[in-house]
Amino acid sequence: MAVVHQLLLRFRRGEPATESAIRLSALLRRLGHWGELAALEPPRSEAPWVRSLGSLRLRRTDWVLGHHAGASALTARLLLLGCRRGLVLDVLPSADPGSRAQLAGLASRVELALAPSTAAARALERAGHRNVMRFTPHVEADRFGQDRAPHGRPRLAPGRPVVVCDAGSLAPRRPEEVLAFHRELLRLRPDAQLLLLGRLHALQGVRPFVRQAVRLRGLRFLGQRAHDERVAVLRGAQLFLSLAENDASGESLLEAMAADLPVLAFATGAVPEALDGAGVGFTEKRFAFLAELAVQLSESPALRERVVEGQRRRLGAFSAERAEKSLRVALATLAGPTLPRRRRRRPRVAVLVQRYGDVTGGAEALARSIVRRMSRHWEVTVLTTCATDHLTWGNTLPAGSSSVDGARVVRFPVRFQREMPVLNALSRRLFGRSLDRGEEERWVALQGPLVPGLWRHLSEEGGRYDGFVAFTYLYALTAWAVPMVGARTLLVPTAHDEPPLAFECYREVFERPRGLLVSTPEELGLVRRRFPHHARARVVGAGVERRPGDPRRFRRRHRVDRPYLLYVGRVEAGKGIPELLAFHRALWASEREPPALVLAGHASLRAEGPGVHALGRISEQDKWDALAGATAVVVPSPLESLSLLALEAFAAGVPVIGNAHSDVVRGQLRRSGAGRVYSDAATFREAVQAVIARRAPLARKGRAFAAKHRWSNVVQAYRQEMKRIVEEP
Amino acid sequence: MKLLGRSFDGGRLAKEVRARLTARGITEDSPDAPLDDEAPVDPHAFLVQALEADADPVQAPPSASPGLLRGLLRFAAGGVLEELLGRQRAFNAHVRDLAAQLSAEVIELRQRLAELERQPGKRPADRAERRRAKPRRRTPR
Repeated sequence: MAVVHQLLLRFRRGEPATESAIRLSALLRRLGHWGELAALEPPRSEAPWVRSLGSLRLRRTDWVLGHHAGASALTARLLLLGCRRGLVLDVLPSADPGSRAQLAGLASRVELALAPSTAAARALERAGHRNVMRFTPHVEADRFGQDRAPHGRPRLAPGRPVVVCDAGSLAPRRPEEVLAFHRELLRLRPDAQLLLLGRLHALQGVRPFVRQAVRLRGLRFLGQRAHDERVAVLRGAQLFLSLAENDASGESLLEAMAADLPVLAFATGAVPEALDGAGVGFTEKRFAFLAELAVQLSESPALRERVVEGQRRRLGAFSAERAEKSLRVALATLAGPTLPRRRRRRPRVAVLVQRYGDVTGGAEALARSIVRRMSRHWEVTVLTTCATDHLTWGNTLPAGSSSVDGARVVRFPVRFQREMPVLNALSRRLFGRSLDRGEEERWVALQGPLVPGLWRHLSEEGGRYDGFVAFTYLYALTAWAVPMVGARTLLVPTAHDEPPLAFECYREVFERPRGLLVSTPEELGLVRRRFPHHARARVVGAGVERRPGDPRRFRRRHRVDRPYLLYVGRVEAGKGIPELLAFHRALWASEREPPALVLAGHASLRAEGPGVHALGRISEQDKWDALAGATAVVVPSPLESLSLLALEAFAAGVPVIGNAHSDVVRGQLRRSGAGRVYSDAATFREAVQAVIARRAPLARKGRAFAAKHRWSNVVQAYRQEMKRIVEEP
Repeated sequence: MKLLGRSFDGGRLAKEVRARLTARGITEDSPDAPLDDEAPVDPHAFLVQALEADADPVQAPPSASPGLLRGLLRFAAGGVLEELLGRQRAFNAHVRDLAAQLSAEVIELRQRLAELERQPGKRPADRAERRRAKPRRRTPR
């Protein structure tokens, strides 16, 4: 598949070209095309998601789709690019000779022109374009449901007729038309409100318009709002008015329709095609007439209900699936030849994981264990990053091909180092709110790791692999790779009940793979609740193989001379370490002979306190030595999809004390009967006392539970699922 | 005025609205001026005209800002404005000259292409065919 970048004049949320590019980038991934968003004027706030044109490393075979939304400097830059060029028409050039001249100038110099409507296709053909392909725009209707609007924000006066008009869709040369409409409406209903939603970006002569507008009562400029507030406005109004004359796709109408708001629209450009009998179209801008009609549409429940019902039916034609299908046909020339996939004795499988090798992390450890065991059955290539630190994604390992445990590992550099304060600030602003795709994808980009080389490899060479196993749904690497290779992918989501799981953009990560290999019944329940239409799922988890350990060797080496509680894993706030330290401090103060607390693993915080031993990373043998001598193992993380540490503790005959806030750990302890849970200092103390008092029976139960988790079962499950992919492509 | 939609009877709805307008003593206002015609635009001709029209930054299109404000601005920042406009004039001249040179080259190349296409023996395609027809050199064993 070809790499397809998109080029914008500027990246500004709310503008048709920007919104179209965001929607297209998701669809392109679903078709297997990797590409970046670039702008001549990229805002700093959107880095690293949106790049400057100069920073793109274009190859001659790459495509760049320029978004044309009026005469601009973009045309000249597009003409000079040394790669394959295409065009997307986002705004009709009807009344702008400069725009028409640029479109005509591009006609012989782009290989492909994409039109989101028949009106756009006609405009392109009139300008001399030959290879014009039509695609269907789409709207993610679920994002406009009643449940997506925050309560009471922004505040709309109840009981007054409220008309919403998209400020971006005002006729650029005649914005005052909307004021003429509002004057007529005020004559009929003096308390009527007109809300202008969005930026006045396309207007010529904004100032005189604003001067007139502010004198009118009941007119409010809402500006560019966050998605949930936009939904609240659309849901709280009685009518959506569109006076646009150069709408190339009708997408703003689709959003109003998705919010069950009756649409009254000037039937020109792409509007008649978008409505196709839904909503109310009008052919002349007679504002006294339109005001009367607006009142009737707002105040007649029967008429309103019929119009909304028609709109709901019409929306079915603008689903993402329909859009994907139409784009697949439109971009058939970009698909390239199907790469030969020889029938091999062993399937060729790529494992996608954010870090690989000697790194601390549950998902990464699981990936390595799987690769080590599956290499006997598959021809495995691990596609990963050069990073070892998930907090920065710094490129510490060399890029290129290497070998780990005998498996081929290909590392790609990460383009952007993660800045946790920036990500945390954005997370605080976004979590718990209903977002649009742009807001979500920006968060995913900041979360990282951004690995353009890896995505390019999947786009260009992905056809050579028989199947993929992707680890961890959360990171950009997986979130953007899985839609590209979905039908040949097994996803090991390692999902927790965490705020980003509410993001709609992860829906395709759970729905498009061939199968999900989840770790526990609790994780499966979580995925089912969040994504009811998820791909076929199977509880597989991980196996455990006990290694003999020598507790004296561990005590000697690390100078631990009293009974101890053990934690092995990343020592960081997200893993519940600060609470564990506080509870242990309380235990230390209240008990006569309290156990010490041993923390082993890479630390990103200072773990100190009486009786606390912070060891840093330890070897695999050291871990089994430590397990052999531990009084109990502590699993403090509130977010787990499977606790490998708990399984290893059970195998070593050590009881587990787990955080009650984690459904998964609670479930593991309930099913095994080999430990206790805690939720505060008092229950932590009780749990420690209980496991000391009943250590032998708890250890027996733990061993019995661990015996059921054999690697041979896990390997069998992976082989069966991959066989299904290879044999039924 | 036509109302388009399948969820209602457009003719009846328009009639009802007109009846209410008449009751208020309003006859329908005159329709808007039609939009610009959408005849194809030749990019070359358009750009040359546009460059001619906007070549001198001092002769700006009519401004929407009040004359007094502009006068005050000119009085306060005249020197800076002159310097900026001088730079703009020079830039415009470069653009105009560049466009003229490129246009001349395009016209010349088009003429030469047309001449070549008129002479059947010298068509680029024919030359390519002749090259393909040449016997291949044998590779040494």
